[in-house]
Amino acid sequence: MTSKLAELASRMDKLYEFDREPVSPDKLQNGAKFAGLFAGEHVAATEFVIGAFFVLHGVTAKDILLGLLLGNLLAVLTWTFLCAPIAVRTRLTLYWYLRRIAGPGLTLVYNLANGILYCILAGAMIAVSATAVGLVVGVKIPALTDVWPTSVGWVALTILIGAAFTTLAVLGFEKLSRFAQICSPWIFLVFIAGAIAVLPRLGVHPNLDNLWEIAKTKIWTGVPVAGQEKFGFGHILFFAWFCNLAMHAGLSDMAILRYARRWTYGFYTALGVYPGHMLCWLCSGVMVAAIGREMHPGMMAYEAVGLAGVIGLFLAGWTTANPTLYRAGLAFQTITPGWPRWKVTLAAGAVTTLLSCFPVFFMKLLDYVAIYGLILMPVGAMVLAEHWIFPALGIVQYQAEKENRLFNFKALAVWVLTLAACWFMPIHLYFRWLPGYFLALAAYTILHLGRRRAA
Amino acid sequence: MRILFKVLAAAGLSVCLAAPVLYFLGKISLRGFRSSFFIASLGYLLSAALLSRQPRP
Repeated sequence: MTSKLAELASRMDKLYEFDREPVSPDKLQNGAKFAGLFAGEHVAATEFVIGAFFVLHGVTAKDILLGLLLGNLLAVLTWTFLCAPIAVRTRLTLYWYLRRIAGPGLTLVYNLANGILYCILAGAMIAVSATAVGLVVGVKIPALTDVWPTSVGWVALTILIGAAFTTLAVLGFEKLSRFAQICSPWIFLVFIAGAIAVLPRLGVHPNLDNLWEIAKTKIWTGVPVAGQEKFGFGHILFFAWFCNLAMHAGLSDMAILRYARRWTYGFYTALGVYPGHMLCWLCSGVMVAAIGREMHPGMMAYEAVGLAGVIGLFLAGWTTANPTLYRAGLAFQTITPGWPRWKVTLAAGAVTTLLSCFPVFFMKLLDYVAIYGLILMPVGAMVLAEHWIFPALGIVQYQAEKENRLFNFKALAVWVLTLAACWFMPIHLYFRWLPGYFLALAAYTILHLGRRRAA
Repeated sequence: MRILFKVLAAAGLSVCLAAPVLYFLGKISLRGFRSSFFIASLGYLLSAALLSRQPRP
């Protein structure tokens, strides 16, 4: 078992070989590059769903504005003060840094967990695109409470779209990535145009004198739709904060920020989150209010912008599912010895397509985003402890690497126990990650206190 | 050619932004807004795609 795991871990190392070494000084990028990179980063198909869900959950206009402003600020600060300094000091990806801390075996587990979570996310994106195509071909979209596939038409549609996305990802991931970069500013404009275009239907005057009144009484009314939980300021604040938890507190974005000249480049993430996770969410909220608060992204886009909206929604799903499929494929390549790249992407695409048939992943997207971040969060906390707290307390760093251990069992124990503790916390799912993060940080440090260097 | 595609892409995006504002202000009809947004979108996507294929000077 141990030798099998060691073999898998070594295969995974080969996959990530190209970024094994710390970034050399001549490869560092300037601030303008980071500004450009982050600017189009957070405009995805899922934004159509998230902003709309806030309306369905009965958020008030004041809560959403303040919650998004502060929540996104906290996210930017987390990128800047947690992720960027470690990235700039180590110049390594999380993969290689975690390998030193947790051992190759646990890094493999982390990668596989990430791969599965990516598949579910890509499945949700396929489902969002399916609502656009479904509108054109007349397929009924599942209801908010649906868990299982609701009709043969929906299953056929998601399978067809999933198969098309997968085939295109297999044929040319890089070309599609370039196409995604082209689409990104236009998709952002679809959100903006859509929201502006439905304002007259909601009764907003051309001089905007009643905009705030309409926002309070017809969009973010404070009344949830039947069967949806009521959300307040705290839910929005925490959602905006943890929406990219795996990337900032979870430290995945070390892969990008390790190229930064200074840790302060973390502030550039604001250029991505405020347009994507504030403006786009507000816009999709306006659009869903205009169609009578029904969760149907295809209908929202069509009613707002017409055929271009449907195309925009479809492209948003496609261009964001593509890199997600790629990353999932990369994670799974470890356990598929000798499989070429196309075969792994095909397998990841097949799993993703199957998942996309189940409306629960799309209709419970907010909860899924919370769970996704929660599962990977303890890893970020342990890396933070190892990087900053261990030297301060005189604890020996990188013990797994020094002792050539396959598994850092203390790290595994902290990961499992943190998730178990989060599961039983008597607070809303959205708020559990924060105490969980501090718990992981403290538990990991305490477990290693016995390995302090002699003074 | 690069400059031409750049100009066309920028024009496409500008129309995509201007069309909903004009519709909101009541200067163009819903049909006018949707068709101009659609055509400008196609124009942008096409010119930006062609621009990305041009060799950099």
